[in-house]
Amino acid sequence: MTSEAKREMVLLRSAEGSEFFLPIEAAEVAELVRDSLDENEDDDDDDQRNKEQREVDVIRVSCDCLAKVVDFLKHHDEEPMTEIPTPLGGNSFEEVMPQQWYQNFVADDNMSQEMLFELLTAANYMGIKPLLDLACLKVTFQLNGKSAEEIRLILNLPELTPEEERLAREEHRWIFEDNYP
Amino acid sequence: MVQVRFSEPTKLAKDNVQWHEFLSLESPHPYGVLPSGNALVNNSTTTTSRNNPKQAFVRQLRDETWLSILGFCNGYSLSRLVQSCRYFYVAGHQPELWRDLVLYQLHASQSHLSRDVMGDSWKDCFIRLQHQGKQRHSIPHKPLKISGFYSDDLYRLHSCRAFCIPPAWLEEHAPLDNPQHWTSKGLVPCIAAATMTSEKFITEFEQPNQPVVIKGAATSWKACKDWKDPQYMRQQTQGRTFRATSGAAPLPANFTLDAFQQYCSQPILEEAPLYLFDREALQPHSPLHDDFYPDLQRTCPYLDPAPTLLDTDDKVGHDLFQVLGEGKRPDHTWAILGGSHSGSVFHIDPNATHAWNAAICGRKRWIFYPPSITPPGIHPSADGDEVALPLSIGEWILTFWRDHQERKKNAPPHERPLECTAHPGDVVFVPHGWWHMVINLDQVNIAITHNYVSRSNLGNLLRFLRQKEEQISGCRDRAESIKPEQLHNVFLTALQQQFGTDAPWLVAAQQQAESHWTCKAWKDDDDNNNNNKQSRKRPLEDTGASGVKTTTSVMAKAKTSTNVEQSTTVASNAPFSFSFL
Repeated sequence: MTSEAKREMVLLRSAEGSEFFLPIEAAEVAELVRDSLDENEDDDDDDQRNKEQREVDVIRVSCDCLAKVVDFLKHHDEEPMTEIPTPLGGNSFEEVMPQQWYQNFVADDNMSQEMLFELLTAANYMGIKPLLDLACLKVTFQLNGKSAEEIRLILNLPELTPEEERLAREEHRWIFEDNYP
Repeated sequence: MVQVRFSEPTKLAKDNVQWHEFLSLESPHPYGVLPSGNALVNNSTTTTSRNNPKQAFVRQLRDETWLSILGFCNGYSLSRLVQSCRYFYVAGHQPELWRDLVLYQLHASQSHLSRDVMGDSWKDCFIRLQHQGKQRHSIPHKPLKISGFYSDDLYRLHSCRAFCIPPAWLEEHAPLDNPQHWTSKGLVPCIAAATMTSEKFITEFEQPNQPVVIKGAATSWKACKDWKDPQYMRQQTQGRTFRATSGAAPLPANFTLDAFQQYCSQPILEEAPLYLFDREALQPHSPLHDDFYPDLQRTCPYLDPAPTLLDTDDKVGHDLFQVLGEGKRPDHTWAILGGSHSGSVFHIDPNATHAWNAAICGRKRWIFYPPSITPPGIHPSADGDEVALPLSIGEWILTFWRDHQERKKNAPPHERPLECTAHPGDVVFVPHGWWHMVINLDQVNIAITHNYVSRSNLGNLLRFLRQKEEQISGCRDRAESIKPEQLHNVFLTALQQQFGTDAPWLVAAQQQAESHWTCKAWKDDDDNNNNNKQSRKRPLEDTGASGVKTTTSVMAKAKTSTNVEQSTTVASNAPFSFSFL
């Protein structure tokens, strides 16, 4: 456990300019942060590097989204997320991701579809593998076991033409022949 | 029967394959995907363009991200997804996704693939696996071409799978005696088998550590005549399964031979296709052993690993590992079978051994880089323990071919890469420490490869066994083999017992082993080499290469890559990326 003594902090700035502080170790899970800070360290102009002024502009992530990312990073620092195995080894999201906090983080009540997608994009951009995995996993289970029609609703997809639909159903008749969970 | 055509020796042209030649694809995308620039040209407002509001939501996520998500789905979910819209129809039919589902299922049920299960595609295979034991008929998957589908990532995936094989790679050249003729053109020297003697082999190639193609050395082997016949191969290997692997597959799989032949007959295989890499098939008592070994002794005595040769004349290049005895020595002889575009990405052979590789069926393209000259795109860790190579062959070609061309032209002569094509009957000598990549060019490609140590690399091998113990491979997963921590001492003792502790060459090798490397491929461990090192991993037994870890699967790329430049702000519309491939 980190002591109460002051930990080095870093500032993340969103696209609109909102600022978030968090410990450096937590932030460095993100490759974007690691790479930015590495560059700054080579900066010879700064003889006296003022450690409290470490900043990273995360110009492509909006304020709301970055707030959630920072939440994730802070928590991850205290309770690292278990790795998601492949194959998944479970039939529900809770089975694959047993950690309560992470379940809540992406629970339907706490996160809209739009925000989930924003988060996915942000995780990709910032290079935060555990967040990317978690969000991917969530989408997977949103789609798991749904019919094609339900999937279209969740993801707001256009419909197939009747002909395309017929061909697709015929080829995939086998999955309608079995009863399965 | 392909007629052998030899180009005129005087017209041996400099190898000058251009990057764009790989892109004139042998076949269009099976699902009709086009690069995104075409959307502008086609002036379409189709359902899959990013500007279409209904699609915009789904297309906010990059294709790689969707492929990550799809990679988590089970077969039922995936089947439903592909019916839900055009985007998922295309993305969800990536063969790598279905391949992985099959591999996981086979692994869980501890079973192998037989011909009746291996249909015409991985998806068909998955469905047949579900139907096993039930009375079910499945309709084979027939790709529908989706119009108006634009995606650079998915198109590129296809390019990596189905890149065009340049005609120059298929040409056959007459052997010429003077190696200089070849290396000045960026080609591996190609010497006629009839003119190769033990002395020539050792003094001109093995000792100076130079690669060579011994043309026609294996043409008269029984294997070259018989192994072409699928029926014969099935008979000889009846009931046996073979282990198949690839850099991209998450797990190996076991195939019967006819299942694998069925697999190879698919028109396009997935990126980094599976290939059989089997160490048991050619063991001394196996049926296939007699198809090559007696002929090898006759045509290439300098490559013969026979124990009886250990005591002969100084000049004979023999396989010193034989002193340990069959079974105790590390894995050494493999049968390799692969389909078109399969092969292995850049690696250095394990344990500092030399190797030879006889093409029995089908042609192979070889690309060599000299020891310590790292090929473009490859990042070995400082101690050589790990090589980060997140690329398949196709991806390496598309990304780095121009760098490779540049090296051929401009690097100092001793740092230049060399290439060659091995035709059936040719034997390629791979000197220890050389980087090499191999690409199979025909539909079915069979080869025999053998790794060995002779006096020319004994010093380095001993040094390797002692200093790079964690990288030793080929002996960890067999009960009877000597374990890595003992290999150095047991081997040295066995050599001393066989040849006497005073044998001059043995003493010299020991002294060299204790003081320095004579091949630049290996370096001593430094203190500050920890930057690139992750936790020390065992070498992959299945590839037989030292420490090469490839993460080429689409899913793996999607999970590990962070392509900062190409991601978009969610708030605004994604811009088109321009490409007119």
